[in-house]
Amino acid sequence: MVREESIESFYTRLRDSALASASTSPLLVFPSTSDVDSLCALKIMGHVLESDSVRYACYPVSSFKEIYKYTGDNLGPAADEPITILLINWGCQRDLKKVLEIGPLARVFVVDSHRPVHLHNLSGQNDRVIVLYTRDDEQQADLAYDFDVSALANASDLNIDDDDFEDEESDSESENDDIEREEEEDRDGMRKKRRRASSDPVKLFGKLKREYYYMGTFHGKPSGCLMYELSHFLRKNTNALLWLACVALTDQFVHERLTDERYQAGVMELEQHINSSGNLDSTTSVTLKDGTKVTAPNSSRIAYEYEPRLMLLQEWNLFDSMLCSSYIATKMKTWSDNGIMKMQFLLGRMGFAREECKQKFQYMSIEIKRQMKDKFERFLPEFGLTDFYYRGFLLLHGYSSRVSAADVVYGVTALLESFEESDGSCASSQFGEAYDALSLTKLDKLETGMRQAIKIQRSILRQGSAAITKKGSIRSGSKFRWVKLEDSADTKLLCHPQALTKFGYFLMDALREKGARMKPLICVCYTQERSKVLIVAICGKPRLGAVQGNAFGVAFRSSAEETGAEFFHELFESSWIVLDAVAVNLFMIRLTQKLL
Amino acid sequence: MYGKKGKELIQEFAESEPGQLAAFNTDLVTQVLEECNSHFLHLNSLVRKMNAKTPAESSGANRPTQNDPHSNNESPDNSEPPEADGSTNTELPKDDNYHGLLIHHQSLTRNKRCLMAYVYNRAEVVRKLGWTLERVLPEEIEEKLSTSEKEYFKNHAATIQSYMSALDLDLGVDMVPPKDPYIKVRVLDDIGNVVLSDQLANLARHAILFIRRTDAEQYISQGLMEELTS
Repeated sequence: MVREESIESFYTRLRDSALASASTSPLLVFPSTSDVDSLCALKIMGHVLESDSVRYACYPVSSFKEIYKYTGDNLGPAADEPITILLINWGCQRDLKKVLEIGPLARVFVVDSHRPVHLHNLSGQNDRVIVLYTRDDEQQADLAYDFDVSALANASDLNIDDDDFEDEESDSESENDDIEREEEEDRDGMRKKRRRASSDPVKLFGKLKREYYYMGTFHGKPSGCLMYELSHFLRKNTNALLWLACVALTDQFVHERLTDERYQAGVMELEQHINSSGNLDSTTSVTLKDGTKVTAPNSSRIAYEYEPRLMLLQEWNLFDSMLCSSYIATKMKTWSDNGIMKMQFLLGRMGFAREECKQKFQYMSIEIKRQMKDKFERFLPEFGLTDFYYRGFLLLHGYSSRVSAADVVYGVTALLESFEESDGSCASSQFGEAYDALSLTKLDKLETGMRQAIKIQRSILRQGSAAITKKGSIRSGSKFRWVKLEDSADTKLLCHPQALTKFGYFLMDALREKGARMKPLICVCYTQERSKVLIVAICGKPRLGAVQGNAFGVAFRSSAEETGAEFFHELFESSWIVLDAVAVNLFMIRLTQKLL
Repeated sequence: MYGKKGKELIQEFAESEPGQLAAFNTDLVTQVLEECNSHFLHLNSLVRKMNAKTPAESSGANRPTQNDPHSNNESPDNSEPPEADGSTNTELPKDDNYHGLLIHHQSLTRNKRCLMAYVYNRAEVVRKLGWTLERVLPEEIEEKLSTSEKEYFKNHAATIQSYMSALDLDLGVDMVPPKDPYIKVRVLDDIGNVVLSDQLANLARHAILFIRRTDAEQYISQGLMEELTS
């Protein structure tokens, strides 16, 4: 398992390995169906592979073991043919060699923005897993280590050699949690002695490893941006790929997976790309037959601008978008009569007629559109909304159509998460829909997604305001709060990890406005059949210099194990878990005890 | 008006979609041929009249003798020399007969050109069909062809076949060279594990594959895959 620090050499190795096994099987690509970033990365990687004539087969997956459905026995130790596999946006957090039982002839390449990377995946001792983890990414991460990760990773494999594999695994995972670790040490007296007795490298290693995993999970650079860098380096970048990179970065921004500082840095980097190599293939003027020159709309052009924190404006109207977007809704409490009055007062102060604001945004008067930014910036501070505008990306298509990257993220995420097992659609078919929606020519599918996103946001507002206003629906423990969603109409929309996460962030924002102390929030949502619950832990927006990411993963797993009920912890975020509905209360009790 | 029918024939061909055939217009072709024949008869009689006059003038002595075998010849084409020579103004008197002769001859050659253009252009389409269709013509096309065109198609197709078998190569595939020998497709149904030329691939539903065009063709034509264009 090797850490590859440069994107170019990562790709060269990937290509060579794929070509070496091309005589028996194509390169197998497994993108995660859980986020838009993975789709963007897949599309860019696909473009690069296609231009190198590397044949591939791509199977979207939504959990760890799903990969077997497609590889069969070719991956395991019994396989007799070489095989090359690329995982996009999943996998690096867990010991892949062990979890996926990778045989000696298989090569697994990983492009993943999840952090931390499992040390066994980084270690140079074994070459079955190759992880792309650039030095820049390590240094600019939201959570910084004050030690050399590579050295630690290499040490970790040495430890395997004289240690029981199983033990090592459970140990390293349990580092997140103090209680668990102590139990572990009690069981394993040998290790305890070794740790206590010596101040030698072994003890240091244990300490560093604990530090490494104790930080919990967070996200690194978006895979889409990394892949764009690759295409840029290979001179295979196009405008369309650059747009995908913008969408990938915006995906992390929208789903609050990165700090403001890192978002700014990412935006600056992409703006440079837009200025230098973007929009080159667009013509701005056309010469007619008789020699007159007319300016023609660019076929499509990427622009960066200050964007309001209003959702899906192009598909919606200004009034409803203000009413439902998390930023304004939580600050003005638009679910209450008072809040709506306040919002109407704001619109009145800005001089926007109510009828105009309820008009579909596309048909709203140009005058208002033009004045919007000035007016918002002038009057919003009166209501305590100071950072309403953020730097974002737009795709301009001719004169008429303009899509913001954030809206694309909302729309495509909604498409990814709008399947129901009951009516036969599944994650991989929705992945195909989302794949199409991301291409610049199929805007109708994107619009479908955006309308779905509007439905989801409305139910977030409904359920969020209900939880805030109804006393006792948000329960508070010492280390976290938790909330349970039971309404069957809305749970249908919200019972998907990203939608539920958005709901959680909405609640956290609303609680912050109420002046509550910030604590992690756990959202529990019943599935359609009420037999299972989806549980998602949210730790708040990452901040620069924070000491901890989302550390619920291990606690989730051990609590679920203790309940004895069936559970599913194979989703691509360790803070997501699916549990038998009957065990919810027991699970929360265990979790509270663990995190006292 | 002389030559009008011939023009109609050409017009009909020009107005049809390029690369497509209208039914062979036997009526019109026959009418044009009849017109040609009548021109020919007129021409002959006029030539005879002029020959009857010219012996009186000594200078044109050898001309009629040259003319006669030509006008006996069935092909109207060979009647061109008298006209060409007729342009030597000094020799022939420019009377009514002379101008009549000229008009009939011009109309005749024009009609002939129209007929040839009609048949040639149709033959060209038939030849193209030989490349795009397998040996047998579909009925809706076959009923539009004349007997000789059908024969022509059959022979042409046979020639192509024998050439391709000699080359051991199907020249009919990809008449426009594909930009890329590979193609990106989405699998629409569970096909299962399949051997694609040299690789083993799992064609599971919803999978996206980048494979050889030749491997994908059969599945696309069966509706089991769709091409993905970005």
